[in-house]
Amino acid sequence: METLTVTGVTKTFGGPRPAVDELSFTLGGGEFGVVVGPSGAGKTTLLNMIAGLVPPDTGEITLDGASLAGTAPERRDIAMVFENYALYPHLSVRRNLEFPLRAPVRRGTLSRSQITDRVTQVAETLRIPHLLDRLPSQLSGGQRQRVSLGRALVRRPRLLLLDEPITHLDAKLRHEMRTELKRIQRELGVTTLYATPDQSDALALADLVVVLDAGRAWQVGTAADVYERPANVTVARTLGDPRINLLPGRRDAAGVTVLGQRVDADHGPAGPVTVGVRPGDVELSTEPLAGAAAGRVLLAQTLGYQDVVYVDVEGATVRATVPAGIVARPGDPAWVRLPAARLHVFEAASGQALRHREVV
Amino acid sequence: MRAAGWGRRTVLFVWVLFALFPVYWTFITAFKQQVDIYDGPRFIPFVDFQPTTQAWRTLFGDGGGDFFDKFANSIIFSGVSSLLAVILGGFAAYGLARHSYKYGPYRNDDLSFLIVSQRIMPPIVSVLALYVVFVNLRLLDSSFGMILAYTAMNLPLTVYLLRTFFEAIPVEVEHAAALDGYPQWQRLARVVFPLAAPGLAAAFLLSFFFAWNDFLFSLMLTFNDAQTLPLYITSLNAQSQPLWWLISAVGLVALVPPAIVTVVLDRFMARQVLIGGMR
Ligand SMILES: Nc1ncnc2c1ncn2[C@@H]1O[C@H](COP(=O)(O)OP(=O)(O)OP(=O)(O)O)[C@@H](O)[C@H]1O
Ligand SMILES: [Mg+2]
Repeated sequence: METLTVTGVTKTFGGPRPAVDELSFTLGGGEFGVVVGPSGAGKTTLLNMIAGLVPPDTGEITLDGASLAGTAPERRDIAMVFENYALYPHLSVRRNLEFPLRAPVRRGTLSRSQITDRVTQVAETLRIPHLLDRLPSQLSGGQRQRVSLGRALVRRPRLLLLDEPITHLDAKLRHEMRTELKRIQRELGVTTLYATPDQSDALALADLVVVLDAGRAWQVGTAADVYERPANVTVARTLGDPRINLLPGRRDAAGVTVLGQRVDADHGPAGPVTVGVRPGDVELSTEPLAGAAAGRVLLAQTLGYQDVVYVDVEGATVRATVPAGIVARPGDPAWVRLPAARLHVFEAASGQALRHREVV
Repeated sequence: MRAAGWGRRTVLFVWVLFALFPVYWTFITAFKQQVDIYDGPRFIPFVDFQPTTQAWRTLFGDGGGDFFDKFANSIIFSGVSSLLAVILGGFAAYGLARHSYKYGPYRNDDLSFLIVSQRIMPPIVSVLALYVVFVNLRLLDSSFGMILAYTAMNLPLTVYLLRTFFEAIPVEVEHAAALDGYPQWQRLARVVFPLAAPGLAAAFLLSFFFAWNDFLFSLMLTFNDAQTLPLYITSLNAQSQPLWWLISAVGLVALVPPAIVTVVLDRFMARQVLIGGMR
């Protein structure tokens, strides 16, 4: 159970802004951390620095209290599942799984039969015993992903790094693998850091979420923290599907004005604000509604269990989720009400949160 | 379907006849006597002419001493220089593929071009300068000198060829090996070189052919001890009447080592198909 700490880590590749910028967080031993952020956020760069493949410009990374600076990757005992799996194409699945156990750094620690046992065991855990004699080129994407995970787990590393391991799988397999990943991680108790652009991975898996964008950590906290109490607009935008509505508004001593309606929320010094409201919190009606802004339906999408309706209100697009089957056709008039208790309020200029939605 | 098959076979058969005829001609000539060669074309042994092993007896008998020396020279020079070119060129190519160099204004691509440009220039341009260097370093007519010359001649080719092979290996595969506990040298030995095996084999093969078939360097830089097979063949041509039967016999023998090298290395080159796409 090894604690990972990242303190003030920065890496610049020569571009105008750092790929990773003054990043700090602590991942407790045995915990499942998720780094979530869009493409180019710096996720891979961060994992590469922790693995020792890319040296950070400044900052410190420690594992189990000891600094990793100056330790070569082969001596860190950190395993990584790469974005493109990076299996050894010239070796069979069995040889791929044995590869870390036969490494020079582990010479003499495992007997031949122990190696065989470990490989058999990990192959069973990942349900790939029937694939052991194939070459990686003879596997499907999902199977490669399992082998890659098996190669990382077989030597019971001190830290497991996963770089978008399931993004390339189809939706059904992705759900399956996600559940399985969580199960395996729990069973082994290995400290895990998982990078993904998919916010649902973060919410489903994480003990700790690091919201990364443009190289910066915008918030570090539990899934509930970052979802219920986003520290800023970037975090609010990253988490939640469909995405949170971010609407321009004004705040004064009497409350907040948004979509031309006065809402009795977050009294404070006067100034422009950004109002955030999750699509599920928006009240949508096809009849006039007290305190609601009038608009027109732009588009309705069904997700099966619910519909997402896009409503144009005074030039702003509001997303609202409604139970499936409520018919809304493009062009229909619609009324949108934002309940005061459900609003997030952010300072317009800095994007910092002023107030969070009340949890009911 | 059947008809198309036969059509194709006929075309192939004619082509094979066409391609193999020179080999056949060399083969029968090596078993001819002087009269059979100079007295009009004779095509079919035992019918047109009575084959004789006279050439072979000369070659492998008492007159063969010289032949064996040159044959050994050719094999050693080509083999050793190709091996060196693949090893040295392999490391250079790996460096160019994986690291960013900066010498003044020169980056990796400039360095690559600089290396390849050594081969763009016709060898005849450099061989005179090389001759002067060899005279001064006392390398003329030495095995060491010839191996050096052939290695230098082949390095641009191997560097250029292997760089693309190394670049095709995803860097993550090497990273995976690093995290799996393999230091740099082991990563090269266990992952990089096996994956680049088709390239290494192809580079060796081409280097071997170039060195094996070289005439110019051997002509300019050797006169006796370090002479190679092509020079020996020419010497058989130097009399008033070329010794065609001997020339043909030597030519046939000269086909054997490249053929063996090709057959052996072909298996490695075919591996690429097996491994398939790496990305
Ligand atoms: N070796 C490199 N040289 C130069 N720039 C780099 C290098 N590696 C990454 N970058 C830059 O650093 C930034 C972060 O890249 P990184 O690969 O870490 O993003 P990511 O979050 O993993 O994205 P993705 O989700 O697409 O994998 C990007 O702007 C990228 O262009
Ligand atoms: Mg990435």
